[in-house]
Amino acid sequence: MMKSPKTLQSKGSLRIQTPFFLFLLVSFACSEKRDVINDSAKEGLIQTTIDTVFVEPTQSSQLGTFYLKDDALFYVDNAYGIIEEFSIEGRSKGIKKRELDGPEELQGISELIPTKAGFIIRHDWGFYQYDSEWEYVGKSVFQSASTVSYEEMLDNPKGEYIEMYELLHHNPKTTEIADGHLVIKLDVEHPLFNAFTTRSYYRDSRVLGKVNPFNGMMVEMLGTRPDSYEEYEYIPFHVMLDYHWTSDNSIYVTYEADSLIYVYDTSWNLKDSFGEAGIGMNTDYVESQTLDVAFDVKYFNYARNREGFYKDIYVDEEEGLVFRTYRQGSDRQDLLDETGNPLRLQIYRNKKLMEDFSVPGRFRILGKVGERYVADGYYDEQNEKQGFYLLNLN
Amino acid sequence: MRQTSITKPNRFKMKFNVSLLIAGLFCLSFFPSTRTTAQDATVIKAIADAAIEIGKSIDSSCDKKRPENGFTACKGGDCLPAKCISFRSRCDNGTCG
Repeated sequence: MMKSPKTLQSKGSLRIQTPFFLFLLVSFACSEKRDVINDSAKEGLIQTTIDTVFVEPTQSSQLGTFYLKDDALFYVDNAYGIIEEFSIEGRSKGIKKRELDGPEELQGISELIPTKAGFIIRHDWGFYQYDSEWEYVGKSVFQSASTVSYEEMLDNPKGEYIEMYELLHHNPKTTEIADGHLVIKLDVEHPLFNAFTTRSYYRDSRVLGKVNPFNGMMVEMLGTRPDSYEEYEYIPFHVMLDYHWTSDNSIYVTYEADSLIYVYDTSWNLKDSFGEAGIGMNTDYVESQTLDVAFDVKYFNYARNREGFYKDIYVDEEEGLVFRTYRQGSDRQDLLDETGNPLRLQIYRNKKLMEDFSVPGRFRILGKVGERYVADGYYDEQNEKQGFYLLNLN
Repeated sequence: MRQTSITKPNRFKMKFNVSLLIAGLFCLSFFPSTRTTAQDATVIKAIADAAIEIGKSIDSSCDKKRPENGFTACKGGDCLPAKCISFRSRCDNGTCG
């Protein structure tokens, strides 16, 4: 039988009320907002719900990214240069790293890379290594050895010239693979070999690189783009891709302008391909033919905000599930960035599309904790709120 | 007397511990470092290969041309690292107009 508040007051049991209100306070502080956004329950395939777990960082600009290591979440605030750990329930476990704090003189944080030994913080092209207690271990800078003369590289660039390549800046993803190397996304901006004016770029430029984290040296380049990129002349703002390198060394890749998901081995031999086109995507890409396009941000914004493209991929090896997001494209002209471009999530089981549904604009699966998938991220600058998502499949 | 009776076993313990320490250090000396043992053989090979590659690389390489803080170029309004061959405008003062 429930007691009324009056009954509790009449007994003057402050000792009972205080823990009760504390419990309520904690409950609300870490409250989960559930958005049932899957409308396909009627089909009886996979029922999905997305919970939002709000967090209250010690210091936040709401310009950040969540990263997952095992069952711990790390919020990286890029503006403040802070890394704070959170539990899966959204409780803070304290600030773990600040820029300019320590012997390494970390100047900023571009990306956090969880590793077997601890963590690597990437700042621009620098890799700062830490153990699992965040003790500084060492630093390296991205570099690549020369394979040809400087003049040859300048005058006669070819896709295999490793020294031309940079780390891709847009939507980066650096991961550690089982042999200890880091895998990075590549970019090349050579005046005679680039996505804006060079057709051979689309056939020959490499897409991933393997980097030795201890000296920053790129030791190998992997992959080229699929033949589907022959359908276009120049679509420089949709040459990006995303990958998931599985524990059995299969590399799942989704390219922005290709509806297929490709599966390669480590020698980039095609093992499999599958996938279906997204719903209502604007793939009538505006093509470009001059380098001037690279210098005017309005072309970039148009491609990212108005056009549709495939985005991120995550593979659940145990369950045989593949998750792939895509943006549909938008007619809205007031979008500040691509996060306002509608995003949807496809779920494949055994290569068969099971679900395709709308997700929040910055939704990106980071990993799995228990039965739930953890995803980045909810950011509301105006109301100073932020959090991460938990995707549930039934 | 009391002090002596306590000191004797402690000395024995100390000797035993020192012996253990020396034996441990002797065993550890077979391993280059604890960090190295945690790495896969592939990484060690890669490090060796990379060192050879550095040796092979010629002085006029793109990376060797870059100044101490590296080349930077304007990408989408941000001043970011770039290769020496980048077609983008440089922003070595750290700002993009």
